[in-house]
Amino acid sequence: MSNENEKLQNFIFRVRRFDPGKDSEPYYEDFVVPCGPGMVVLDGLWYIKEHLDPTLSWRSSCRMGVCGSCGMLLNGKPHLACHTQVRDISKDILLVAPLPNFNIVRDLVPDLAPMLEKHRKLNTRIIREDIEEVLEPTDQYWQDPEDLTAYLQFAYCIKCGCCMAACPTLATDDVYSGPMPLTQGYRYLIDTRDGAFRERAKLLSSEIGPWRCHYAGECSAVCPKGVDPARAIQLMKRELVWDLVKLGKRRHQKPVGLLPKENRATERREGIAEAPEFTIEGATSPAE
Amino acid sequence: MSSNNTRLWTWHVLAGLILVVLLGLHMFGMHLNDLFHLESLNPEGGSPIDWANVAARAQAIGQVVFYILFLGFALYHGLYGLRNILLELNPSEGMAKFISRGILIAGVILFAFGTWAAIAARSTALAAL
Amino acid sequence: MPEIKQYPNKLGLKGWVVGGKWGPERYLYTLHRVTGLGILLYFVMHIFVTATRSISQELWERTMAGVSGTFFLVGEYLVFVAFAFHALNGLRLALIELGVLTGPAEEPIYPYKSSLNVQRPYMVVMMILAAAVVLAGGYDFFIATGH
Repeated sequence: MSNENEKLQNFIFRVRRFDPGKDSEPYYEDFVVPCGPGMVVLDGLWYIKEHLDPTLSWRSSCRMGVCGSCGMLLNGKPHLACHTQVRDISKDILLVAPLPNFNIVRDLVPDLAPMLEKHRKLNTRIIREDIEEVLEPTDQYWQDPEDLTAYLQFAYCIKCGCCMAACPTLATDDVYSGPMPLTQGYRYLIDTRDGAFRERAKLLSSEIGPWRCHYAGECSAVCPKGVDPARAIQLMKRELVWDLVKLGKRRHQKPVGLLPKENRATERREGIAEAPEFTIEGATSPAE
Repeated sequence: MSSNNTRLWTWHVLAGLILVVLLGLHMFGMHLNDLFHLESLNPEGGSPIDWANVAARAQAIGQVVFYILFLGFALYHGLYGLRNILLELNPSEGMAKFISRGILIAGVILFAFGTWAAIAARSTALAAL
Repeated sequence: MPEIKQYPNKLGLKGWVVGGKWGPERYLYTLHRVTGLGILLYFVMHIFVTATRSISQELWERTMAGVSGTFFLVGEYLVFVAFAFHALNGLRLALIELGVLTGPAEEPIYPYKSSLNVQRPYMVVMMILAAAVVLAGGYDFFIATGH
């Protein structure tokens, strides 16, 4: 144990504070935090909360880079606090601030609601015409490995908002959707199970589409999950432009199942459990 | 505010690619003339801005067409880029409409003026012969 | 529920200049905008200046005499440099934005590589080409006698 303590080094956590109840402007406050090897920024914040100032606020949950709650500006660059070792990015002073381009709710808590609203506007879900098949599936949705690879990378997104904080267009623009929503828009645009390409293409040709991306590349530089939003946005442009000039392979929604229709089950097979009851009052189908 | 941005943007990129060729030729003729002399652009030798060369270019019908195409693509590419930058500054909806219309009108006026200049220069050069 | 006061934390125009900057592409993005605006400004003036040839030889020669001298020569060279950069960087951007130089989607495996890594060699080539054009222009502007 004494060996472990010898390895501790004091770091100054310079934390941006803001209390909507009493502050008109955010300000920086210093905390001295002893950090051992392997200690992540989130551990440091917990140390402050437990030993120095219980009023310090931030958002975190899984503490293992999965939930996307603890995106913060660490020494000026967006990172996940649970995913970033203090000694990797600092020698003595560590600047901790909330993600820019979002309103500050309190201390290190950004208001992610506008981002999620943009995400919702891009219809980020599978949309199909054969609603009966969605409600009463007769078979599986088949996809080739290539079909899967086309969107899998972008499906790893955890919606932490780091890319939105890094995007220079979003530093001024409220209309542009931004990297996260557009990446998710592309993820569904390219999904062979989806059947709404026309509607999506029309929606994306408006101001909320990918046209205000100029490949500064910062979203991909900061993404903690390797999702590469910049790639998704350029591939989205390609799909839309190729479709416009009629050079694109028209994407066809693939049929359900590979079996001929007459061989397919028409009723639910035995032994397959029923879907659970809806937990939201008033909900009638997953397609709504 | 429902302009088809897919179409506008595609033209922007297309115009950019065409400009690499057109502006490239223009720059070779005007500013790399000593390294790579293009006879058809500067037939009289000397500086590309000597009246003899200017008049020779102005009266060639191919050059007139070149100038008008060049003017159109360059204005579209440049003004679309300017509009993009201004719209990204988050103007109000009314202001955004004003910017878009203003830029469109400026583009049309500049194109009309430049086209007139290219055609009138041909007559001036021919008359001076 | 009472309205909770929030602090607006958009970087604003400052974000175009100082936000980000973790990769060379971010600097090229800024430079692309600046050079584009510079070229556009020059281009609009250029339309009016060169239109003097449509009036008469005398007016043309008087105008050309008016825009000669070191100040205009250096200014024009800067426009040439801006052109060389904007054209070659624009060529790279067009290929990226049409999905050619981004590479296809791939499963993210740590340490993550992104489309930035795919296009970077082309970026280096384009910048070397731009530098070559800038040098050739420098020779023509300032050293060769024909100008």
